[in-house]
Amino acid sequence: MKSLLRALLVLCALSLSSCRQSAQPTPTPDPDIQLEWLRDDAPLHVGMDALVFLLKNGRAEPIRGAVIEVRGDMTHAGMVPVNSKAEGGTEDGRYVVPFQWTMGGDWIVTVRATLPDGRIAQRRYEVQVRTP
Amino acid sequence: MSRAEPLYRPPLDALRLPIIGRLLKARRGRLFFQMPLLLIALLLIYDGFTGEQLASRNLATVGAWVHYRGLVILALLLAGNLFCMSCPFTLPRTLAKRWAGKGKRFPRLLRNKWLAIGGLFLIFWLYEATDMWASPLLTAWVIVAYFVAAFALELLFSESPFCKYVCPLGAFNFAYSTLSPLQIGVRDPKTCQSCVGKECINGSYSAQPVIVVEPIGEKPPIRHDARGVLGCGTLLYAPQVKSNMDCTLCLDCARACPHDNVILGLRSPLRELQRPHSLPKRWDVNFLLVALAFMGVVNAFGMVPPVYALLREMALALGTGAEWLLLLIIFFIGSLALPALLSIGAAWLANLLTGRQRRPHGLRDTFAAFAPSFVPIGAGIWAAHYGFHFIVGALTIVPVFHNFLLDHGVTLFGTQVNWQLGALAEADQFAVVQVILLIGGYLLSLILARRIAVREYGPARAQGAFLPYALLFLALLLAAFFIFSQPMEMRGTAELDGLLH
Repeated sequence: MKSLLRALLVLCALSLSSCRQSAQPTPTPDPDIQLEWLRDDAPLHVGMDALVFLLKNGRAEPIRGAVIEVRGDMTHAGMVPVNSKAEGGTEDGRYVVPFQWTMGGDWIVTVRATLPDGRIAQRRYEVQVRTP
Repeated sequence: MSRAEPLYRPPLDALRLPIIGRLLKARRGRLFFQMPLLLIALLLIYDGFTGEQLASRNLATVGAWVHYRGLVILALLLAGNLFCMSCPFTLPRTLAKRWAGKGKRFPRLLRNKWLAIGGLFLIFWLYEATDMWASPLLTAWVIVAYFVAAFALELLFSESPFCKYVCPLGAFNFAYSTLSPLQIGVRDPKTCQSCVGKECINGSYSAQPVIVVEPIGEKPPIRHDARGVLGCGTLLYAPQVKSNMDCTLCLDCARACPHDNVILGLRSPLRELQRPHSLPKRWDVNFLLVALAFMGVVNAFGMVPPVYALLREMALALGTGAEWLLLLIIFFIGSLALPALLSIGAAWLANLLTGRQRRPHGLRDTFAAFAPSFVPIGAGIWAAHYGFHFIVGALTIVPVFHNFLLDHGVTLFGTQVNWQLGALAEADQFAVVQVILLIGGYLLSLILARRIAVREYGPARAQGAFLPYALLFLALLLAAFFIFSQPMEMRGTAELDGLLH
């Protein structure tokens, strides 16, 4: 009986992993949406920054009226993420997101664009931020 | 001291406290503390394997690298080796013990701390070289490896070699529990002298329905039932315990003693470090204490900008961009070679300056006599480092766990995760605590070294023996100050990639 219970517990644990789904799932890449972070080769530094993103459709036409949400996570556990966003965009599809780099080190920047028609695009960048 | 005199007379015995004392000594007392940690370990493994592979959003990395490390050093300094007491890795070990029966003893050649020192070196190096802090998956594998290693070694050998000789976490805990305020001892050593079964170390497995123990004194002895009890897994004999080294605080000795003679007494944290012969005069045990202080500096050095400059210089000088190799060199020099060279050099210089270079002041004698004085400064450095991560990230476990629940459809606490929860205090505020920890550890090390010098060489020659150690501690303090005054960075090794390409 005890063995049976243990086996059931193991099965329950395994089945949990199979039914797990993220509360904010990664959207399937849409070839009709091009999301790009425009940045030069200059190193990023701790402090306030303005991140510029370009949003276009498959025909390279700018997309306006979208919402760009940026989340920065440090690669080390225990750090509060930084969130920011921009809405509307310019005529050429640029979105300027004010962003505070709070600490030097490796960051993972997740950019999520929600288009006016509800479609979602997401990209992830790994960058290094220097302490001045 | 007569043989019947207790090794120390504590003002307080934790095993006599109203509720906690009964809980600690209960047959399933240890299990009560182990079960929550086992559940947490399983949760960490599960999330590490199945959750989002982002360190700041995964229970495996947050739990292991923020909370475990911060809490373990706090527990060691405030109470004792509470993590080893509650260690979940020993639960499957108990199962292995039953399956294995009476196995062989661990090979004599390995019955020392060299494996554990090697394990500490390996884990600190791998932590940097594999970016373990950033990988929930790797972290989960490390936890699994601990379970497997504890189980396998217990299956093969009779004592608990994993705890005593192998486990790097245990070695860390053993080393800094020498500074803890709680220690195992006995109430009346005479009782132990006339005790036949020595159940505290031997245990009392028997096919008899009731183990009959000889009556000593007026109190009737405690009788064990047919299940028997475990004796000390690391083979410590309670009346001879002079140090917390090797004590996992499992309290099997207290449960096994048929005369209720074992105590968990409160003591001065410096008590065992300043008394002679608390620790054996072995190179391995004493080098563990010395090396850990240096490992604390090297481990923290991996988080500040100068490490990148050093890596770049080394990469260019050696013509290799292999980060693992460069880190291996840094860690080998900083964690093993430098502590060996400097501490043995200090012992040699102490003997030279005092004009005492023969036994009882041989090189090993002096090295072993002063090794305990590295414990406070080492503890200060580790506490300043791990404390930082804990203070700036303690509350991140709340949103991470909330997110974990939402991933599994549990909306009990709402559907909006507050990711802004993080620090218990600002990093700048904790800097003051870091300074206190560093200077406090340094001063305690100085006091200890001075007392040891007077004890070993007498007041007239003490200054000569004390001087090399005082300089060494000052160098460690300055190195630690330099590192902690740098802006802390959460890694940034990307630059190295492609440096030479």
